[in-house]
Amino acid sequence: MTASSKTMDQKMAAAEAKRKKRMKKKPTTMAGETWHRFKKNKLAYIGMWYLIAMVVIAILAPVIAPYGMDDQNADAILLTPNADHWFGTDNFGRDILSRILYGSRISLMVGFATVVFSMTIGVVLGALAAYYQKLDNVMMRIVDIIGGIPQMLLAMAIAASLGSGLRNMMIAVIISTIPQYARITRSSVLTIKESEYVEAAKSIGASDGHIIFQHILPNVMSPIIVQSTLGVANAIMASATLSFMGLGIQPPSPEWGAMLAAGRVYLRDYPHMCIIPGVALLLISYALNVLGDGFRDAFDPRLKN
Amino acid sequence: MLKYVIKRIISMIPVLLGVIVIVFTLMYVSPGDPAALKLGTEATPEAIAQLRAEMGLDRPYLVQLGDYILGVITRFDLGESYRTGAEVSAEIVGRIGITLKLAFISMAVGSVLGIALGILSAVKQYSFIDKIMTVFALFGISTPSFWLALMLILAFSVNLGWLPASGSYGLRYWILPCATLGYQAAGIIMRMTRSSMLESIRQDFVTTARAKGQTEGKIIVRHVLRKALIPIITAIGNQFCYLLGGAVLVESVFSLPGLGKYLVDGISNLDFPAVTSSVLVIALISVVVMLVLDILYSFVDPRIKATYQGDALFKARKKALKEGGEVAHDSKQ
Repeated sequence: MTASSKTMDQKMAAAEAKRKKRMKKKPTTMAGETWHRFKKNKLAYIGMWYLIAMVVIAILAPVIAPYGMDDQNADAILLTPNADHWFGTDNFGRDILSRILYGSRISLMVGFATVVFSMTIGVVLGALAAYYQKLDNVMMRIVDIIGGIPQMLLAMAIAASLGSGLRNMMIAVIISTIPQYARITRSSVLTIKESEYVEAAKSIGASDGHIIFQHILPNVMSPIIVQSTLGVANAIMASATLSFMGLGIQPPSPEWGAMLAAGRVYLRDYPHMCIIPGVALLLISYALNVLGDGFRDAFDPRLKN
Repeated sequence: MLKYVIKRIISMIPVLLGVIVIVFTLMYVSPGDPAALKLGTEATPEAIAQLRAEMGLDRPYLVQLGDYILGVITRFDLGESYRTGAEVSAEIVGRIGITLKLAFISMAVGSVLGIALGILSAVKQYSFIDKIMTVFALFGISTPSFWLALMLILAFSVNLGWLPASGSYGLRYWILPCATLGYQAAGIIMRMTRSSMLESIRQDFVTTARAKGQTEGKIIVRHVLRKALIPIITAIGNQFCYLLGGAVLVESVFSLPGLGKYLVDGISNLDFPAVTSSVLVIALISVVVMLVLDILYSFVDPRIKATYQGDALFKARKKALKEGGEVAHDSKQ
């Protein structure tokens, strides 16, 4: 009898432990659940760590780079990758690895900074347009006009008109990407606007600003976060493209697009000058894209196929 | 339906006018002075001022803007190139064919490849093929087009010597540029096809079709793909506009004498009328493509067509009811 009750106890304890383990595995908060779903996506998880590593590298670039970004060595011109210069050297004898490391600072900074600006402006415009019907028509027509020009072309036209340089390049990328955020925010706010809790907030006399910023925007954040993750990749690519065309950051700055443009002349004989900056661009863009996909699936599992 | 098309064409006008205003303003604020550029470095300030007055550049912004819009609309006058002095509109007409050819061939390659691989990926979900395809598509999306162009030149022209790296003298010259743009388009279209197919593949009408004993091939093409086509067409349209932007770079890397190369040359020579006019023309093409797509929707999906007709039908019924007549049932709806 005692033996059997003991086994019963043991069984119950085991079941309890199992339940606790399961509880531990399956978080109950929304953020926890999202994180749990996100972690399951291996590729996105790797993408996230790659991005974190790149940010750390960008911050520590002066410490970890084997050479200075502008150190010219007349004895080591156009070397292919070797033990001293892992990624080889360019036509001025500068170490390409060090320039790539320093270049990550520019690309990441431009990517994140432009997205912060264009997202903020786009989200505010989109939310206002959706919330105030009178504004909607005017604002969306403006967005339609800007969106009517292919993004890259608009960026080129703006950059050409303002002149080259970091600031002008960022302005060009920001203006050309605002419509994307405005459109997404508008359509999300339009659906949320009609929900009961917004009506409830209205009925207790909350101000429009309070309703928009406290009730509506937090609930439309997930598509915006997804879009901005993909937007960072887009902005990095757009600024590299502008620099490649000579409209963005000018040499000798180690921007990846500008490095590619400089290496283009040597494509036939020293292809490493072109291959390496391109691979750096490709990897960061790939990481951001899988991360964006991972976020989207984690935020809204219904979208996942 | 015709009413809707006309309505859509009319709604294009303010967008295009807006594009002209943006383009003109960018040209207006740009640092170059056309008069000074025309006269060269040794011109006296008086001569420059006189030429500015002759060219009408000393007039207020709004007057110049009005004049420009009038010129574009009535005479298709896009100004004169600073560099060559030739009419920009004539130069654009001579180059637009190459850009359109590049864009359409690439889009066709991308669509066929993207839809085919997307179907394959959706049908074999979670298989090894699916995973490979997903990675392949994402690489297409993440690769900078100008870099891909350079790498293709490196592989197929420099190392293997199979294909020419630049120029446009025959079919062989189009393979690499179209492959560059087509691969990127294929990536996005493949992803959209896959997710859109997967959405419809699990629905009841598919089960019904299977229960009726329909062959799997027919189910995929007639039932699943047809239902999934609208988002795919949208993706193709968006991609076409994106591709026009990418074509600019690819043309300049492969030295194809199209609109994109004209634009890039214009940028490096501070030839603002050339730059802004090329942007304007490409924007016009993309707006027209979007319109065509909108109309295409209704052919693919009868439900969308019904909404266009719905308004007219609703009015007709209301009128009939008012007159006390019986409401006719329209079988078309």
